[in-house]
Parts: sequence; C-alpha cells; structure tokens
Amino acid sequence: MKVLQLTQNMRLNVDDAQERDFAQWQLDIGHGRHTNESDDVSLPESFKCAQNTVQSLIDTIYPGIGLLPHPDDHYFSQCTILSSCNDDVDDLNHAILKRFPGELQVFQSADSIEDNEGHGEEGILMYPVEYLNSINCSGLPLAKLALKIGCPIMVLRNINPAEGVCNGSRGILTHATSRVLEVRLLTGEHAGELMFIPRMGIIPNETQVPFKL
Amino acid sequence: MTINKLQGQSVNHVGIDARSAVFTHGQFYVAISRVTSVHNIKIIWDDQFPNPVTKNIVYPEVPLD
Repeated sequence: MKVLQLTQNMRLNVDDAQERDFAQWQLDIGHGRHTNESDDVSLPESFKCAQNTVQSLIDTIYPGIGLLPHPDDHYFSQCTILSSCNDDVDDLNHAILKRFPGELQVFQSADSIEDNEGHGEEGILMYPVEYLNSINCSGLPLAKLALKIGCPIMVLRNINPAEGVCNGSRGILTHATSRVLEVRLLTGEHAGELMFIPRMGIIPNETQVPFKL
Repeated sequence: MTINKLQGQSVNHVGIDARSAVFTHGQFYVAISRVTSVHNIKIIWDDQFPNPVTKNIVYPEVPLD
C-alpha cells in the first residue's frame, strides 16, 4: 500500500482570475469566513436567477426541459438542483416532472404492517394503509412514485453494485411496468447500459415501526 | 437531489434551492464546490431577504487540517 499526499489545490491554479477567486471563495466558505454573527453569508449577484422563484431556477438549470425530443444523457448527468431537505427535493421533483413531456405514471407502494406487531385485526385497524402511505421520512421511499418515460431517476438501494446499480446511481427511465423499471445508467463505469430495477420489499430493521413498505 | 447525495461528484450546472437553509457543518461548502465553473451556479433563496443570502454552518472547533 502506498500513501499519496494531495498537496495542491488544482482549482486555485487555473488561469482565469474569476475562477480562481471563486475557488478561493469556496475555500473561505469551507473555513467559515464571510459569515456574520447569525451565520448568514451573502452571495455574489451573479448567482441570481432571472427571478427568485422555483420556476426560474428550473428554467436556468434545465433549459428546454418541456420540449421533445428528450435531452441527451449528458444533459441530465451534468445538470442538477441541490437542496438541503428531502421535502424540498420532493417539491422540486414534482415541479420539474410536471413540465417534463410525456404521460405521468404513478406507482403506488404496497404498505403493510408486520403480522406479529399489529395484534391481528386490531393492528390493521390501528394502522390504516392511508396512514402508512403518509409516512414520509429519510430512508423510506415515497408511497407514490411518479415517473415519466425519459425522466432521470436515482437508485436508493444497493441492488447490484458490481453492475453499477447502487445507492446514488442515476439513470434515465426507458421503460416502466408495474413490477420492473428499465433504466439506462447515467453515471459510473456502466454508463449507457440498460438495467432492470425490480419492485422490492423494504422492512426497517432498527426502528420501532413495524412497517413493510 | 439533496446536497448530501451529490457529495463527492462534480457537475457542470448546479442550481441551489437555499429557501430552506443548510443545517449542518460544511454543507453549504459541499453545495457550492460541486460546480466546475463560477458561471454555472445559480441559487434561489428565502425571499424575505432582498439579496441572495443563506446560512453557512461551520463549527470552528472541528479541526480544519
């Protein structure tokens, strides 16, 4: 084994003075500078969109998202909108999908509770499916997965790491049936290959919630 | 996607939805450092502020070197 030392910040070595300043500013932000007493940081004017709205951000990052033919794979692998909360991501996904061309397909989860936890009939009454569907927290998939053919998706389980289908892999939906999705991978060594993602059962093992989602 | 999901990757065009502020150490740095050029980063922010502003959470007691 050989230990490699990283000693140079390559971003600080570019010729363009603007890029260099930006790289230095990023480093400063990482060190907590440019921040006032209430942890606020002011951002350069150049970061502004035409308007301070979700639609304007979508227009800027995904130009032509509502048009056919679908943009190529490079477009989706190189454009992204980041957010700090899952809820905001859900809202953004919904807003972008609405503008994406094609027919919306909704995949409903099959949520149920574990038999031994719910005390039979009583348990089913205590945890109606509508309640189980409404549970939306980190690590659990949404009760309703809305997709359109050609839209980008992200895998959230390690299904087949050797073939590049793991947590965080992104792909384009090419075909959808009720039990299997066909996806063309966007990222990693297997980019461009077609993969199948089956419907799967997920049972939380560490929590006290006896749900099967 | 969330900031945490993209950590470790780089992309050409990044939009940041900063309406909800980041909540943990170094998260804003991760968001801004994913992009490859200063011209390709855009942001929306909490509209109670007239100019782009967001939180940057850094705990100085976390060792930097």
